[in-house]
Amino acid sequence: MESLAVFVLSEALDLADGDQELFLTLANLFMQESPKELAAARSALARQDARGLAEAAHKLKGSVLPICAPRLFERAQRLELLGRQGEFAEAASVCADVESCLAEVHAALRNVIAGGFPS
Amino acid sequence: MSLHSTNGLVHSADATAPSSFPVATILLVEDEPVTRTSMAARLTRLGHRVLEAGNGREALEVAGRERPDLIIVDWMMPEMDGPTFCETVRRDPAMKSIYVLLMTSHDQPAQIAEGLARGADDFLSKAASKQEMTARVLAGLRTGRLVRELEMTGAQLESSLVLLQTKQTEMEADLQSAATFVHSLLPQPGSPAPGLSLAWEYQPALTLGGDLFNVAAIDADHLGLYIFDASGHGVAAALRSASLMTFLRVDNILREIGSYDPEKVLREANRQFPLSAEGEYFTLWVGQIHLPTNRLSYASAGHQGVLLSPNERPSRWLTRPSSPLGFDQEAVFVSDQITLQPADRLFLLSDGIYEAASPTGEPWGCWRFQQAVEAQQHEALATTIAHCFTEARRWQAQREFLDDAAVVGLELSV
Amino acid sequence: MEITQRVSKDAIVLDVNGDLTYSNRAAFKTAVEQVKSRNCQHLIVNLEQVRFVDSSGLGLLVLLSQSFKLSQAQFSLLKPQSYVREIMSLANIPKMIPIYETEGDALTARAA
Repeated sequence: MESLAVFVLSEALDLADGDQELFLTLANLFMQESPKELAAARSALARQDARGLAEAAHKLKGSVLPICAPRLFERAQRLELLGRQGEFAEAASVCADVESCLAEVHAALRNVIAGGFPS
Repeated sequence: MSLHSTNGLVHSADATAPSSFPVATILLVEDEPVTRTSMAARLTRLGHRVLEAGNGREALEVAGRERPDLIIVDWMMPEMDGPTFCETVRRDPAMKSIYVLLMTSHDQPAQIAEGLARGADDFLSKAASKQEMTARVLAGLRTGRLVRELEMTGAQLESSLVLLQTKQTEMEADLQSAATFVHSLLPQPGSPAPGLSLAWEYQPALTLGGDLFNVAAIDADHLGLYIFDASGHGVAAALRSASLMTFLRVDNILREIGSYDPEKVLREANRQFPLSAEGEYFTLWVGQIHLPTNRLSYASAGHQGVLLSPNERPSRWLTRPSSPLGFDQEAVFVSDQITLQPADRLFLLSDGIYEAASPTGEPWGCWRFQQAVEAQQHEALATTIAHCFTEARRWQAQREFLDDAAVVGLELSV
Repeated sequence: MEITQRVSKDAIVLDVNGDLTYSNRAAFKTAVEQVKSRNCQHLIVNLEQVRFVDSSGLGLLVLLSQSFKLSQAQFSLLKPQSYVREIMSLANIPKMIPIYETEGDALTARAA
């Protein structure tokens, strides 16, 4: 699992058809939206709401696709599955993983937004 | 459109669509903003006009207003999910034929089956490559266009059908009034002259018949009678017949020829009614009775003729081989004379009655008509004629005649 | 109705099988047009297998005879059945169109 990359800029750019401006828009949108989904997942977990957890994890997972962050995608996918199965104990630990992965991705995106694209 | 040019579209950075492909309106329904923004950008780049909706209800409103060519809808959404959205679209008559792509991360067959059953046309994985997405969108647009064309053709066909039915009703009304006019020219059953009685039955194959007859007084001493068969069928034949009937009117014949002498009438009719370009023509039998002497003179132009059925004696045909009208400009028509006896019956008949074919294709035939008439010698004239129709119908095993069927009977009083 | 076309010496023979009537007129006309387009100098319509000719069929035969006369070509009928012969006699057809009992007679008549 650790072997998965945090964020692959070249692939993300490729997904945006090489459009750097579009990618920056998507990155900003992601940084704005993803904390909401994480919060929604945490709150669902706290009230043992399996369906709410799966839906929040699913939405987060979806938003990760265009950003191209494989490790976060894998964790969010796992969290969605556990939510569906109502495995709250393991879900709590995976949710913590999601949070730290998300922080890594945010950091990487901030770098790109601040520092621009490698030529 | 080839795959090559499809790729060409993908690489086009220009937001305007290539002229070969009309701008399509695509509605994108996705609750997750990052994915929605990413896909909208890609579709716009392909040259389409993209509408966005964040949930199913909003999407239904936009779709109803904008009538997009294609809808791409996410499967998993709060409130109204993708499959429910598809069902709703399919139930709406105005939207039901819009092509819907269901976007999913599911690819299990059971879920695909569910999506199809609930109204999706195709699926698009969120992880699809841009080539795959482009191909599916273009395929969807192409199919959607075909469906719309078919619907349009269907609607046009339907309106053409309505128009056709209206025209047909008008034409039938016209034919009916023409038929009413032609039939008003047919003789009144009863007594056309002292000592003579007339009865007839006529079953035109169309409302407007092509085979017609008449019995009419020429002057105080003469009664004219004729029957003709038009070859061919249908409205054209019926119209030509109406024209021959007008020609044969007593006032017209007296004006053009000076008398109702049968051979002269035939000679002039032969001149005026040539074989049509379609090979259509008339056969005509004309007779004239001198009432004080009961002397009948008659002539035929290719017509089967008239059956003379004397009381207590065998019947015989009053005809001789001759050219139908228009076959031969040089044709010579010759009148024959006989003196009619009391109680003699004359039957003028059209080919529609004796050519009535049995289910195996055998015509009823003149000789069966003759038998039917002879067997009925002691019945009333109208009864005999009705009997002929019954027998002919029995022979052909159906009520309607394929050609005009006419039998006209004229009887001398005892 | 079935119509087959064959060449017999200097003539083209149309073997007609079925009724020559109003409903079959299109098929007969088509077959005749084909023959005419071959600039045929003698057309023989074989009626041996024709059970019935109605007034429309008769009209077509007369039309054909007139058009062959105009182009100075020969048009003959072959072996009509008795019922058809009766119908044709009534309309004086034998005076307009030569009718033969054998194909040989029809071919010889042309040569003569």
